[in-house]
Amino acid sequence: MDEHRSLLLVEDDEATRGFLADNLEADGFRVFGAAGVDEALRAVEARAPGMVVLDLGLQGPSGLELLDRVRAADGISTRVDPGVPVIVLTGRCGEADRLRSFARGADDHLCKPFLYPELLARIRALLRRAEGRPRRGVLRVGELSVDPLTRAVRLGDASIDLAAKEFALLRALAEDPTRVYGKQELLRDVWGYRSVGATRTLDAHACRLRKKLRSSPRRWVLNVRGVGYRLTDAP
Amino acid sequence: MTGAGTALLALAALTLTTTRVVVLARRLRRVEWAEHELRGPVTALALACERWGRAPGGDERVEVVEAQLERLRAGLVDLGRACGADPRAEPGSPVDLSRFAGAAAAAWEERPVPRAGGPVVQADRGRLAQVVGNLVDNAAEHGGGELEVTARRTPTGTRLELRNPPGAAKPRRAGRGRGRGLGIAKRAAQEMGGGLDVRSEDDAVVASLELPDPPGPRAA
Repeated sequence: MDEHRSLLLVEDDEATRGFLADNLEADGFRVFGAAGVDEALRAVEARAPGMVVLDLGLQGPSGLELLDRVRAADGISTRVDPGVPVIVLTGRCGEADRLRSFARGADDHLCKPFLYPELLARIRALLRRAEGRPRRGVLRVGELSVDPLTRAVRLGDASIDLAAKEFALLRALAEDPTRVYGKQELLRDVWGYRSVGATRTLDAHACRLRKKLRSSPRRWVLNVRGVGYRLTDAP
Repeated sequence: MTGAGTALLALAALTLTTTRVVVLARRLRRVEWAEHELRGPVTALALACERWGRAPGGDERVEVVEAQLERLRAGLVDLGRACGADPRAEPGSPVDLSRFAGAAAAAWEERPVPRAGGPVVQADRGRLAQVVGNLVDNAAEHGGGELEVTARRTPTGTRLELRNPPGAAKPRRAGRGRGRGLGIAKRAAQEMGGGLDVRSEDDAVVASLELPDPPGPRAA
């Protein structure tokens, strides 16, 4: 399942969380649940969800605190992706409440009780808009995960050892897995070359990277002849 | 009256007004709490209905409960407005009028929910549930036999008719005494851009909700 279809549902009311998770799973999302801010923050780091659906009225610290902590993350010293889309669900429906949510970094605000089809439509619209954004924190593409912080790469359950430039190349490609990156662009961004003459450096690294990832049934590091490379094909 | 007497009276009036304002503010705060407390359970119940409605074969009783939840939702919007929330009308969604009204009525009397296929209107389901719910409440309280619910297209829009069989009580005036439900139903109809007329016809009480077509080409 695509990592963009995974959602973190932060809601302290068990009945609401359970029924909402059931409905979202029935609509094809992978749902992780959290009942409070600390648990949610750990899940944002560990699970790298494609979106957070956040209730504000949590027991203990408010959902706005989670929003603050996510948006304040630098994406470098922690695995929290500060740009993860967040849709707020709340029983507080006044104009000031909506403005406060957006001012603190929410991408959307929906008042309880909401119509489930409306929530679903908003989630899909937000995910559509978020597609292709540069992601920080752990990058996941299918069974491949790339952690910029620890430089750990995993393919399914297997850990993959990469040299520094192989890792940098993989990370660059994983930012937008199906986009074709030009050779000059990669040599400039990964190797820091200002002017590019005839060099086999990129092709040699791409070849080694492909070999290290070949245990997967999916094809990785695809050569687009005469143009450059993309990480993988669209599903 | 002496100057001191006038000042004393003014002070008493000010104290009385301040006390009333404080009492009203307390009541309003309780309304806010109640409104907030209702939102969570209504959300959970609506999500539960959504979940149960997905079961293979479906269960029409879920629609009956959903119609009641829609009415509850509309009531919450009104409570929110009393507390200063945004007074804008809710956007409409497509509703099969016969089926929805039938489901709302089925909460009050044992009857099957009509099959889909009636006229579809773009309407705020909460307000629609308020209209039907209040009319059905009235009919259940004062009516005779089974309520007839029909929906049909008219040259300018769609009409939903609820007919209480002969022997039913006369309609009460909206907004007076115990006729509050009729007043709420009329206001809900207006909020949808339509109108509600209640009349006696051959000893039957007939309520007609007229919903005009939105501007633009008419749907088939």
